[in-house]
Amino acid sequence: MKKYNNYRLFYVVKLLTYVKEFIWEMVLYLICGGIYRIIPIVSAALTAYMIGHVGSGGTIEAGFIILIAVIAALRGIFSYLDCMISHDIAYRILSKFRVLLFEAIERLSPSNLSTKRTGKLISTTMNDVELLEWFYAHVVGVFLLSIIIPIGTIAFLWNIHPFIAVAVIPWVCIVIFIPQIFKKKADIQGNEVRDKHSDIKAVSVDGIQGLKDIIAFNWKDSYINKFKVTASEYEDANIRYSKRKGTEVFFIRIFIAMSMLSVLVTSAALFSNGLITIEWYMVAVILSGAIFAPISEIMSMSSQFGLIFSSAKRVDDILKEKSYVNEENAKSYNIILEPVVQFENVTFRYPGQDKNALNNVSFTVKAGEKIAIIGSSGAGKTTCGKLLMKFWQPDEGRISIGGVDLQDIDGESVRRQISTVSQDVYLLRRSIKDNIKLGHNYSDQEIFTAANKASIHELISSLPDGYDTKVGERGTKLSGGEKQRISIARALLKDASILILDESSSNLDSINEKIVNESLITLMEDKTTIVIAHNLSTIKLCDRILVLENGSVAEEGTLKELMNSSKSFKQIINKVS
Amino acid sequence: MLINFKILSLAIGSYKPIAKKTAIQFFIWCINAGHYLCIAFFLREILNGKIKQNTIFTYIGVIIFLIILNALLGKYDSYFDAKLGSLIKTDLRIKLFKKIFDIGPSYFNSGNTGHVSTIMSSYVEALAPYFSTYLPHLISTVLGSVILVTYLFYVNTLIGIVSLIGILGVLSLPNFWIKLMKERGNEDWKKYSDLSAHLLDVFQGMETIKSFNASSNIRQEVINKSLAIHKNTMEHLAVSQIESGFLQFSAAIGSSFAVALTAFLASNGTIESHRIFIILFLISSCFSPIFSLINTWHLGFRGVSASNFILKLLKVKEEMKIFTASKTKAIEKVQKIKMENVSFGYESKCVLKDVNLIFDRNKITAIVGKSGEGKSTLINLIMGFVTPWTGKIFINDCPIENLSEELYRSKISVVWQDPYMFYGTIMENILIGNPNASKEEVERAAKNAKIHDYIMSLPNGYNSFVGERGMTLSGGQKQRISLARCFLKDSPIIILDEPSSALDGKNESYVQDALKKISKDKIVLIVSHKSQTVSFADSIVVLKGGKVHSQGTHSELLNTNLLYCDLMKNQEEHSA
Repeated sequence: MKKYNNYRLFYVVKLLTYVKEFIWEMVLYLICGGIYRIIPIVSAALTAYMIGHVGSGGTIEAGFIILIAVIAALRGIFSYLDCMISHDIAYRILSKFRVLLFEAIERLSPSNLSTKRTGKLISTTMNDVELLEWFYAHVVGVFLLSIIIPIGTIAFLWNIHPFIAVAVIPWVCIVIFIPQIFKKKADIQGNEVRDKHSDIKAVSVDGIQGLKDIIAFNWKDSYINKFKVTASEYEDANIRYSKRKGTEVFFIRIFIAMSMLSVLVTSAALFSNGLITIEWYMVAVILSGAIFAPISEIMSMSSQFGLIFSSAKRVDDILKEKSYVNEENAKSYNIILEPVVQFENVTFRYPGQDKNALNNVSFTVKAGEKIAIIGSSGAGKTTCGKLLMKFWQPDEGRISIGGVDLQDIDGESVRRQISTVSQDVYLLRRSIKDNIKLGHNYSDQEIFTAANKASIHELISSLPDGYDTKVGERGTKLSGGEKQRISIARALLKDASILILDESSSNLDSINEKIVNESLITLMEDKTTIVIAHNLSTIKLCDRILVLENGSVAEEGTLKELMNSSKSFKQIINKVS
Repeated sequence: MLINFKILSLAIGSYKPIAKKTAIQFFIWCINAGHYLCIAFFLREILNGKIKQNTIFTYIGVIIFLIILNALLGKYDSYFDAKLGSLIKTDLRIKLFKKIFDIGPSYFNSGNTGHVSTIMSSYVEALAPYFSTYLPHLISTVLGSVILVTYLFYVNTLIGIVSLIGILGVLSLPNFWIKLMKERGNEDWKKYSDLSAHLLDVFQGMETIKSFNASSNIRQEVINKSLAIHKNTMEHLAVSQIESGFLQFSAAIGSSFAVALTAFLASNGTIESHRIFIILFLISSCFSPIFSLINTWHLGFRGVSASNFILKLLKVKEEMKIFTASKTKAIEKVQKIKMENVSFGYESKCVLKDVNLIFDRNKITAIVGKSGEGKSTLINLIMGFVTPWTGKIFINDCPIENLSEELYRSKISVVWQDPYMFYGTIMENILIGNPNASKEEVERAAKNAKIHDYIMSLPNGYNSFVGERGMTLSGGQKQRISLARCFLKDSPIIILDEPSSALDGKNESYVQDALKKISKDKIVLIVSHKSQTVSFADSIVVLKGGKVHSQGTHSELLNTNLLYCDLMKNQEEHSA
């Protein structure tokens, strides 16, 4: 979008590129839709002709009436075809958009999504995409037809008498021009409406997920008020949009009616002077109205253009957003890399922050070695893990696995080398089994074995539905320890040669903790392990310790070395445990 | 015709504007009919050939007047349409949102957030046109048709009958389809809501999904679910379009066929030929709203099928209705919470049995037990999220159901195990505790909760955004922010639900001191397992199998209680 004037054209072209693969269906649609829209015009002209004929004293055959009945039946058939074909194209494209949006969000996650609200993303994927149905089902084909049909009709009127066509043409031009005047305003207002609509979704998701806290802090009334404001702001935007639409409707109605009036008067003059017969007079008057049917169909859509194109923009913005993680030169790697992790002078800063999260950090983890990273919150421990997972990328320096620079491997392949057990375990809203499988094809036996090793098998089996028990949303039905053990089972199944444990035993009750630690030891066997540690018990499991302070490596050594040599380390250890 | 009294109840409070909208619609119908009649009379006079110039100008004048009036009304109608929709939608959304609070948090644990938030946004949006467009359109069309058909019967019975058949067809055909449509319409919404809820879930869990290389499988699920929408929509459309085809046919019979019949009868001399122009134009003006009624019926139908889900949500059991009193006298000073023979469970499984407990002011009470022994349920009961099966809970000596919710909530605050951070800044998130607090008070609360230093280390300090659901914060930081909310609220009862991450490591002793300080004059309940946390509590309750197993101080229990020793031993082995 370079200039504002090109805004709509830009998105029309963008949206049209998706029609390409449905080109033959589109042609079929134009034929059926064309017939469907011509039928009422033909039938109106025929009846008008007959009325005129009878009015001037003529008689008509009964056959005419049957012809009209047949046309009425055809109208029904083609209305069916028109709708089915256009919507089939439209909904195919909508599904495609939804998948493309999913892919884009997958690509952007988690780095670009830290500032976005999920509710709004959903609103775009569901509601904005749904709105594009108008474009594909009611604009693309109709637009062509609303050019062809009026031109044909005008040509027909010209045949009756050129003056009649001349009386219609200016009004048609004016009517088509009206939305142009309001275009800019329509686009701005349309954007506002769509944006406020997505706020409703976001505020309700926040409200429902935070229900317990809202109630606990007696915040209910103000939150309801907040929601009220969001809902009303959306409706205010809607009303402003409709007011403008009303003004458009006002002018369009006037000019359409004026067209009929001028034909009425012009033809009256022609008839009085004997230039046309009464039959054609009637036909002309009726057609001068009918000519606008396809035009007003597209006009009524054009009053929605503001909404359609702002939805198109919101969809397109997500599709074309660049991820912070640059994958341009990255290739997919199918081989298993040697589990050696190396950070070389890594410096990293989160966007929008003015302090580096990591400063010139260097360390190496040898194959099979277990290293603990400790430090106070905000020291950069978790950031190290995220960089290694290629969820972010360093601003300077180099991270490598088995000597291969992460820059050269795509994120998917990087993550294939690594298992994680993280602090905030997310369980999807599906069965426990599916949560352990996470889409992979593990056999039941493999799952049971992993669950057994993670000391969770017994508990799962004791549930009424066993492994098919559905996990409550955000995992609320399982305790912290249980969730953690499920995530350990996931990691066991994945069996990657590198393991990242993020504050893995911080949130558990005591009985669980012992079990979790035992399963962790099983999990860590033979693996290159990075533990972002909080508890002495896990630190003790490691060969070497790395102390981070303000994004830099402050100290490094074995537990013994550090205990003996470093005062500050002792302090940290005392704080930690 | 789709009129159903249950749906009408959803727009209660907007009946007047709906009536107004109907009146506008009918007025527009009249103007249209007048406009077309003028044209018809004009034509007749032209045909008679004896028209005077003056008469021509009068006709043109009247027609222009009607055109402008019609356009003005159209403009107002467009505005009023949105206005009416806004009234209905806002009312309903707020009603639903309040309902969510009455249902309470326990319902939303089982994965309903996605679905319910879709109801709030999309379903309500789809319902509005039923009231703002379909209903007014329907009523005014019926009124107009009565007038039209009466006139046609007056002219000729046969034409009247043909027209009537056409109109009745348009009005009654939908009734034969409603059942077929309803199933598919509901299915449509289900598929739509299903994808929406699915996306909410996978977007929020995307980091996990990527970590386990599950993206391509989840992608396939998204493809299947969105293709299911396509398939279902097409099936639904097929049914509705066959119906629509019949409607179109029916309307065309009523209009074109009736006109053709008129012409035929006129050429037979059965009706006077001067009437045919009037009939031609009257019928075309009257049937254009009938044709558009066919289009609005689909809008209306979408609303009807959405209403099923809205009505269903409004019927969900309100767990939070334990507080029946609307206004009660203030409680002077909260002295104790008393639970008397309280039992409770989910579905048919009993979780707590005959619990009798008293929590006193000036005391910190800890509740310990393995997971699944009923600790969280105990908190949910005290919070009034669920109603006891048997037994009662008292504040001082007043059963909590005799208190107003507002009053009760002002006495109690909770730090949840997984506190929710709302979209906004840290400042806003702490202010939830007391929206009227000053900046200094917020900082003092944050210092007490030992989160101030961390906040100040952020580039934007208290104005830093927490990200969605507090994405930028660790579990412990979220709990400490929640603790700051708690200190700010300064309520006489404080509950800490598994505060292990907030209290761990270096912050522990500091936060404990702060807790001890504020526990003067307060009732503090801690659900925890950490030996340090529990040891400083004045009293410890051990839960087992949904019953109070034992109660005492740390040292008492260590000496006498094996279960307690067991709980503590496991803890110490691993953290020291």
